[in-house]
Amino acid sequence: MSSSTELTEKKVFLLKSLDGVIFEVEESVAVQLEVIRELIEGDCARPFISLYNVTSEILALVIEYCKHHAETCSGGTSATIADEDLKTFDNEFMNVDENILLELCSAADYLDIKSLFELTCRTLASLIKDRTIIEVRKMFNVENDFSVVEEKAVRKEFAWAFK
Amino acid sequence: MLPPDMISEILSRLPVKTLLRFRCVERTWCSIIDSQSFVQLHLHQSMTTNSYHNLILGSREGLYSVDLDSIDKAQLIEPPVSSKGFDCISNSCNGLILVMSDPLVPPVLWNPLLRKYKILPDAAIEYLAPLLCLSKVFYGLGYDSRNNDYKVVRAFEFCNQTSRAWVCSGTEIYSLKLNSWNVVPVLPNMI
Repeated sequence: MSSSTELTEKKVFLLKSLDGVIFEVEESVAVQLEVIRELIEGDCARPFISLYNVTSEILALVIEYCKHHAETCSGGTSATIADEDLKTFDNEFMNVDENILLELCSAADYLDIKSLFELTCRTLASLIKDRTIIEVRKMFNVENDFSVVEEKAVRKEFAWAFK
Repeated sequence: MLPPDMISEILSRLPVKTLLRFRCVERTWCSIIDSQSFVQLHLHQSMTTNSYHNLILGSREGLYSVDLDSIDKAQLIEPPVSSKGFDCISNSCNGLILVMSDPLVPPVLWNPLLRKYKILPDAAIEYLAPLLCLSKVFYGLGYDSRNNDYKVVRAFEFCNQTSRAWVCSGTEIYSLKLNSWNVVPVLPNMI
């Protein structure tokens, strides 16, 4: 007969960030990262999985997110309470610096975590909705590559949208 | 800098008016927003998340648009071509509507959120004889997903000008891609 420790033992995986920090995560967390699902299912995740595009700061946040979602969904609470709990968590989780938010969005895209990608995209969209063009350029770190004449022409096409 | 695919995803969650402003951010953003694939993505987002939906209502005073996210106020909107104060509008299809003002005048395909319109060409069927007149015209707007085309169906009937008796009916289909009307087999009966 197998011992009780064996029965309750959870499978863990090691994830290595871009800057070399190794995180230990349970299977319920790891499977949310679609990008490594195949490695996990094919048992090719030893000794650790390198995630080249994610820094330890961001990976720690991603793991926190996945952990909370895994625990809430398996917690045995009713679906409505779990839903409410996740909503509250998501709202608080999005209360971070804009640059972190952009990096989280990028990481969610790379790691293929659909719910986190949706959440970050939605949050970024509502953040920029009422911003000026100059503020948006600054936030996304893009240069204005229109000439003065060209920008004027683009603006003129839908001048009413600027009122 | 974020890759264009990610920018598209973020932008697809914004209302049309904001997108029209953001065309000025830089060239890449402008070409993303103007692209056919982005239009599809934006439409898909709006439909799956039920966001940025507008209800357009016609009354004797004109057309009103109600933003379903803030349903407490209606905004009077100007149809692109207004005849005698009252315009008839068709069903909506992916944010487009048809505006009809007079049965003898071709309808106008209108995108109220972009404030852009296109006057459709004259219909294919000419008036059969001077003694006949159009008694009924119906329009319907639809999207042909197989050809990624918008189509307008126009069904009408002619009656005798003096007796008002029904003479014949007809149907035509307009294709936006071809920008022309095509006659389809005639309806044998009255509409």
